[in-house]
Amino acid sequence: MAGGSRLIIAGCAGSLTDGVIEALEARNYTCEFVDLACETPSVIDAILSSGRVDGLVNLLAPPSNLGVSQTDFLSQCSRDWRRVLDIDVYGILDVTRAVLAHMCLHRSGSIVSVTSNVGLRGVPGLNAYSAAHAGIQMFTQSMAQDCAEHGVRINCIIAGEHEFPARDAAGNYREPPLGPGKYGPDVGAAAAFLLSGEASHITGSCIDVSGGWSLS
Amino acid sequence: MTAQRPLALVTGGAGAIGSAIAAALVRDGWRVALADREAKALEAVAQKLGAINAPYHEALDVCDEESVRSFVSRVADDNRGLQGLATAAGGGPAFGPRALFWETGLDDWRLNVETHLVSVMVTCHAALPHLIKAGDGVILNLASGAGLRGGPPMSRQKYGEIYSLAKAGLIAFTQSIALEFAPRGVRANCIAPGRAENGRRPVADLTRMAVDEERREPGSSRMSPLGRFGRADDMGEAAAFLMSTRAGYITGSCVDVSGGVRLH
Repeated sequence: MAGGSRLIIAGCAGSLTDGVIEALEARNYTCEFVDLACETPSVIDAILSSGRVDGLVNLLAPPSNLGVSQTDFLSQCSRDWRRVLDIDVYGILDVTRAVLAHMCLHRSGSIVSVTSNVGLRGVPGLNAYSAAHAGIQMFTQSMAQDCAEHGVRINCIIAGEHEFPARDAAGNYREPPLGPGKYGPDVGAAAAFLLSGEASHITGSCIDVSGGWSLS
Repeated sequence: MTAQRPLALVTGGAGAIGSAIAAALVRDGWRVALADREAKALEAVAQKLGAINAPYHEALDVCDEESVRSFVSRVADDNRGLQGLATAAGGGPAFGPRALFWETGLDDWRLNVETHLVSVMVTCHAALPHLIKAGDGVILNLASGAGLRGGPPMSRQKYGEIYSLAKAGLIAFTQSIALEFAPRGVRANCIAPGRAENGRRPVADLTRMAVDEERREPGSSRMSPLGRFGRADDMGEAAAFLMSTRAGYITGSCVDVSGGVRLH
């Protein structure tokens, strides 16, 4: 896949989405945005029936789009967890299912899911959010095995958690080893690589673009 | 007068792994409160352990939040405390249809994630206030190799995407509460079985399946490097160790109990 290809970008409105779309459009990809916060099936169907889609970029919604704040687990309720799962798990799966079926029919395609590093190691007070991101990371590994024979690749990106960045035991903000990054553009560049033909032998993998945050 | 033995609540307590965990806990000096959807099997396990060792049991569906919460509080109130929780419910129809992901739908995904992730969050949420009060409360969640590797229990098996998602989510959730409640004295860990016996498939069946698979597709055998499949007792031992004071400095970990499957 190269510039000129048509992509679906599924996510919620915000700086990550804007940055990623900008980075991909700068590389001549045509991007169709699907808002996970709205009803999606008819929008997806309309995009898929209007022509071939070569790539899908899933952007899991950040906490602010989910109405999530970092609070004591015991003060949460199951309604809070389901609100997270509805968008960051079921919303993502729903788009992925529709696009995967389309890609398998054409026997080619590439999917990239952008998750947060909270999925690598659960974070206190972001309990369901951590679970959702870990879940999509493992879904990617598992799905890669089932869709390889249909010519479809699927990978994921781990971005630093920008809304609730890592803090040390004293509560001080910890900068990633590489310093503050550019978030949207950094993620967009990694997504462009994973979508491209240069990554044609890469599936089920995870690229960490958190500036080394996940290491500490 | 001797101090009362600690009490652990075990969900899925009538299943192969759940009942093995309960039996290992009882041997180690715990008493257990058992919950399971299968009333008859639950009765049998409770009877086998005896009323002194298993003073409470209740047939319930872990996806029914109200039943879980009321069982936890009834047990903790009546016993005047709860010291342990082991969640081992799952599998069966909740695993989902044997179909490609894009042929499945929201209802399948929800059943799987509600059973293997949300129900555990609910049970931990209900038990945690009691475990904190105990001073050295402990949680053991039954994860799966699927949550560590993608695709249960090894790469060649298909149709495991949502189960893998739910179990990976469970591992991350367990880490999040391990960190959050460590200052309040609670430890939380997971064990991740590989291919292990369950209520529907004893080890002999698993071995027969592997021989058949090997014949159909040479090189596909999923036997572990240790040369056998997991027994429920293997899981019971690992769980009981992590819940014991011998594991007093272990929290947020996920112990792989797959006979080394992860290494090949």
